[in-house]
Amino acid sequence: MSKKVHITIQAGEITEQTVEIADDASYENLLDTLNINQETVLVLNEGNAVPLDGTVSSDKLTILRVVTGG
Amino acid sequence: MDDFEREKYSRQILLFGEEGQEKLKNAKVFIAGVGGLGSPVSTYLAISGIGKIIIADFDCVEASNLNRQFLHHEKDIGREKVESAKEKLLAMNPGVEIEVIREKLTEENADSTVPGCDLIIDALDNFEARHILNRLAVKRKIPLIHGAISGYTGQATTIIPGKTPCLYCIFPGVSRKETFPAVGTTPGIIGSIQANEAIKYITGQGKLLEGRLLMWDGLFCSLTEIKLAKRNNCPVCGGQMGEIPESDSR
Repeated sequence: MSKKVHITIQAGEITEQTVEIADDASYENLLDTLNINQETVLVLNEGNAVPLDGTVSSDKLTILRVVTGG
Repeated sequence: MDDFEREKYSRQILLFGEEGQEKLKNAKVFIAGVGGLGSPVSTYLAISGIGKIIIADFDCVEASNLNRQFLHHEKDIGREKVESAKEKLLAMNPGVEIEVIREKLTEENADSTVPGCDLIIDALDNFEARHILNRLAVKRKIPLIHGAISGYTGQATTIIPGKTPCLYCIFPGVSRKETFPAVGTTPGIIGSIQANEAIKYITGQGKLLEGRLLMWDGLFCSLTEIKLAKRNNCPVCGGQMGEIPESDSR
């Protein structure tokens, strides 16, 4: 079984897309599907960061780019 | 504390009393990196009267550092950053003790290289080294104050082992070190927030950035706060399970 998740990606510009993932997919699986490096983003559900090893439980998520320099 | 110190720190003593100032004087802080973030962090901690500051950096000063790394001047190009930084910090406050570490921190040497300290400040420029520092902070159960920047944007959070998500819970991946854009004001703002967190932690004042990531966007002059969560199974801190899985523990 699979489910659709609407994704808003905020990385400088804002883009939106809908992806289909397995019912038991984790956020890490979702990022892999989107080919996004886990280190450089946070996944937000209703404004709160989710643990990436958790199972996707929402049909609407935001992926936010974070920074790595110093 | 002598009369000159009472005068020098009088505006801070109004905030947290001589007792708080003594706490700063008795504190040992380890700062990893004396570049863009390390310049404001070490400057504000030195002039606040932290007793001992340990700075670690294996780089030498380059011309491309000078737009933001204000502890280093044109005359310092080619010098070790730790020596350049130590000179400026002692000029600002001769009352502080500065120890320098020139070695690159690795998984193998981190525990023996980083001396005992009350807290660790992440003023690094890559996540590979940050994860080494995170594992050390969790192992020693001491706070790690994270900061990072790129361009006009930056972020900061305070990690309290056993209480908040660790750095691996938040950013589990590792990417290569790369050249990033930077305007000097961005590390100035984020580094100041990190130093502020350190002063609050040591003096026991205010509310730390625990479990919260503060994100600064200089282009829009906006601050956003994001609530953070522990991983379900974190190989570094144990995450929500509260203990490190045996297969992952070192």
